Amino acid sequence: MRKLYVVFAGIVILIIGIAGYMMWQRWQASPAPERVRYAPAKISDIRSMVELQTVSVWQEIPFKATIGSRHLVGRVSVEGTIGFDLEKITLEEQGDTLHVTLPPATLTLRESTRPDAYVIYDSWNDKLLGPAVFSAAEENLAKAHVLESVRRNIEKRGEPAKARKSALESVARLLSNATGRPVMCK
Amino acid sequence: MRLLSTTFILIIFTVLASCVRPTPETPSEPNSELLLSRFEGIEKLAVAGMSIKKTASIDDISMSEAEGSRQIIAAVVDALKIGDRKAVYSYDTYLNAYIDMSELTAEDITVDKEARRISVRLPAIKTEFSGREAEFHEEHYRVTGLRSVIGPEERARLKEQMNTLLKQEVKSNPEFAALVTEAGRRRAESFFRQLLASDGYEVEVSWK
Repeated sequence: MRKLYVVFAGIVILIIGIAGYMMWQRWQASPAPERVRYAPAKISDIRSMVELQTVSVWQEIPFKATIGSRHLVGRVSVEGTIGFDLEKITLEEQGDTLHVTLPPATLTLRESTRPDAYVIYDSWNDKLLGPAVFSAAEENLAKAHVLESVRRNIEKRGEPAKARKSALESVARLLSNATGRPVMCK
Repeated sequence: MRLLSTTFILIIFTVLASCVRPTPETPSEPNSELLLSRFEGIEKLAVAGMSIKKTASIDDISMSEAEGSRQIIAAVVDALKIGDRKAVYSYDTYLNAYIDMSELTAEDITVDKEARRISVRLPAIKTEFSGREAEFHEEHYRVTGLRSVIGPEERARLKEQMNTLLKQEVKSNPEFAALVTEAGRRRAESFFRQLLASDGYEVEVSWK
């Protein structure tokens, strides 16, 4: 009789175990809850241009933003180019020589599309019970300051002047090969 | 005698060893992935740019949308929470079409003085991502009751996920690259015709 109870108990435990395992498998297979929905990527603009880019820039910058007693620490990767709008060049013929004037350099800086281009490490409030969170507008302003700082540093390094020198050589070579005439660029 | 021969062998060995100079390790260029900052000389003619918008929304799971046991339980939990948590974010990513001018050689430009024609063979147009907006546009934000706010860490993770998905979409759909390439091709052809046309010469533009 006792043996019968043991066998019966064993069968019940086995059935419960198999049922539990099957329920677990179904649970794992069911779609995970997702509270974020992503719309398909859409083209918002296509514009044509003719910009000769002679320097590419890439920088990874740690930053700290402070508003009152709230602080934000993170890292942003910035990429960009220094280029010249060739639609604004001026061509002058003086005798046999072509004189070309390039427009001022354009420094284009954007957040990088590489993985982990924007990472937040910490945000906190010095006050014990105050809100720690930066709003999206405040965060965007902090990033704009970072990009502006990068822009000033690049200009201070003299990179636009170096880019201009490369662009002048490139344009002079192209026009000289095409026209067979001497080309003076500035 | 044995000591003398052993010493002699050791001396010979030492002399031979000193004759073999180890190859000096030439310092290699640092891997660009290790650099915090990089300025690189390039020679690219950007001829078209495309702005691609990606939008994402944050919202609770409703019972009507829930599928499977995990989503149903999550929907029940969300229904019990006090307040709403809804937001919509978007930003633009840029795709450029460009010509690598370092691939344009003197042989690609030929001048036929008799026919008064200049022929230019341009390198094929390539496309590349040229960054994204640093600004993360908050199109809508409504967090009420006892719900947790959407903070910088969550927004950063969201933007990273949107970036990954957008790049996959652009890679898997060739129409994005085709549209910007076609716009670039038209612009490049008209530009080179205008630039090189002089003294009654006709300019013919073709592609490699």
